[in-house]
Amino acid sequence: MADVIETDLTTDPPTITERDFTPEEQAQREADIAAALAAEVEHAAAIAAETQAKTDAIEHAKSLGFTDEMINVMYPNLVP
Amino acid sequence: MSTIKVTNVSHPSAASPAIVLDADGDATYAGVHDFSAATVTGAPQGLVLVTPTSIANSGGSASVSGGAVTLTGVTSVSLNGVFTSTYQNYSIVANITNSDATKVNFRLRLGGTDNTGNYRTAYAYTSSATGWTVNQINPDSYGQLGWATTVPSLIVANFANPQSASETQGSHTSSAAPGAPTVGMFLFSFRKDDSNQYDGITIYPLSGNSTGTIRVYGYQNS
Repeated sequence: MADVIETDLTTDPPTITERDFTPEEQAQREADIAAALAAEVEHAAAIAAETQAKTDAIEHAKSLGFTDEMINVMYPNLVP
Repeated sequence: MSTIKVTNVSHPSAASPAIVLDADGDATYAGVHDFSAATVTGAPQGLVLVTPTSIANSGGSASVSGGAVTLTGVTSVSLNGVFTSTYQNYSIVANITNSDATKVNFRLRLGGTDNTGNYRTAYAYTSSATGWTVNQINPDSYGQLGWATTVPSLIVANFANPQSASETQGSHTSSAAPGAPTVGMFLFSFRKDDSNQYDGITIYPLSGNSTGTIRVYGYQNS
């Protein structure tokens, strides 16, 4: 299957051409895939950090004697 | 040619006139008005749907009908010939469902080739699962149109001056945001400070593929 399907809408019926990526398009695509993977890792790290921060906050509040109900009153949705 | 002068037009069996003309020529119509076959002359006003001169897609399939570009499982779609000197401002309305919950990016095109320089983006988002996050990317090789998830998402992207020999600006919103199981809000602003006169746009998800419909509208200048 070709990489790119081009449809020229100025003809009737439309003219459809199939081709592979140009070297420039292929290089850009590989760079985009690498960027997507990096973003995925970054996003996962951000979620993990946020989850850890919530866990730490809950543990700290409980060490001070607060219950889940009291924590949820002060910080809605903090306790899952 | 002679002129018949009347103020009221009525069917013979009607109790009251169906059309009443005043001295200025304004007509008041009674009852049900059938203008279904009427032709409006003059330039269209407001938003005008712009049909691409051509499209190109990678992965899946794409087609154009009545100006709407319909996508099924594409990894990218390019719309050529949508930005012209006819309009200064454009609105791109994308109703998209992604295979992955991820960014929907774009690159402006010139003569059928994507431009990969100087996309400056600032954004802010919040969702039912996260507080506000703000960031900027300055510059990058692509711009961000919005965010779409595995449920139908709406992206509305406004562009100013893509076809003029000055910088291009953008202001976008999307109904989905990172970590949004129920609802999110994602706001973007965008600048591309070069003088290229862009005539098209490539839209693609950061990962996975997109299904849905994209329409490009031009704002009537006057």
